[in-house]
Amino acid sequence: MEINKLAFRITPDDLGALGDIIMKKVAPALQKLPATLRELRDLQLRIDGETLEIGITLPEVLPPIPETELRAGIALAASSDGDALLVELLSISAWDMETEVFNPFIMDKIGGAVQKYPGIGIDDLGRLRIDLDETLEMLSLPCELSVTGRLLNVSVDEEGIGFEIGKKPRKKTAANC
Amino acid sequence: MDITQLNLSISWDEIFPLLQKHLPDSVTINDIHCSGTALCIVGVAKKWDFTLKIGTATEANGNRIGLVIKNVSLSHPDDSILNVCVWNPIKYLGAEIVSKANGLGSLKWQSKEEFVAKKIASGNKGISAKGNILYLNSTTLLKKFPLPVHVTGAFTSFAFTENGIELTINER
Repeated sequence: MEINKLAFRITPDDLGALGDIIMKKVAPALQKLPATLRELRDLQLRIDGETLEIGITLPEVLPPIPETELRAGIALAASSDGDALLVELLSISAWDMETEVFNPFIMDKIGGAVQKYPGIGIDDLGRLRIDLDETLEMLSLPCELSVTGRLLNVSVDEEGIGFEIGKKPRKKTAANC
Repeated sequence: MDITQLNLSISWDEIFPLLQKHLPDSVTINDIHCSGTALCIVGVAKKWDFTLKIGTATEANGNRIGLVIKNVSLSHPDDSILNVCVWNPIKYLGAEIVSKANGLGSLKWQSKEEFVAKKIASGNKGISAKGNILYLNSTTLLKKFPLPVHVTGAFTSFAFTENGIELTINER
């Protein structure tokens, strides 16, 4: 039996569990952050229209800056080769900082941190690029499926985050050209 | 997490033993192959060599799959039985008494294809026949052929291919 295409949806009800999985995954990375930022917690995922919103509680960094929730709006897309999930930071807000200044700063920090992790990187347009295998591992598919295909599409709407995975096209050889 | 669509191919090698498992002992399948979009099943039933040609017609609501029995051909190694067959088509090719109005039975001839459809459907849970079309209930089919994921959706496509069966199940 061969799976040609699989489409699944992470419903809004699943987002809580997914947030917990991501927090566990990034826990080792947090330890490498400055001591004041290691207390990042309560990662929340929400859907706002066609945008995925990530909320995370930032600790009190300095006495004048109180504990606050950092909110980031992100867009998800499939890479053109279907090998990765692209995560684009659309907006970020915390401490009323100017988005134009803060976004490149945050992406630069994220870029520096993720480069140590195999399967995660930053593409030429500054988007986070997570390999499909890594993405699927993070999503923990609830079935005994071995999906080794390509990511055809990712969509975000009120019903959840939809993923479409298709079979990898066979490489052309002289015999089947 | 919801599975919203699953499209898969099941090879003939996988289908063959499963099909044989659900057939009576008197029926043996020797070959399954695809001829264009139709499926050809070649086998033996009670010494009768048969060839069934089947096409597909998926129901719009996806609850069941319609298999059209396009053609049935029969042959028997003993020619004398063929003669009997010619003279006694009721027994061998199928006919049924459809009404007994005024105490008289009238015969309605049915095609071999209709006869075979009715035979297959009789005693098989989840399979029904209407004319020469066999209807397979999707839920029953999924129980007989367990998939690697729990899918409770509707069949939206079902096709015979050279390599096997290709089907799509969509979320309801």
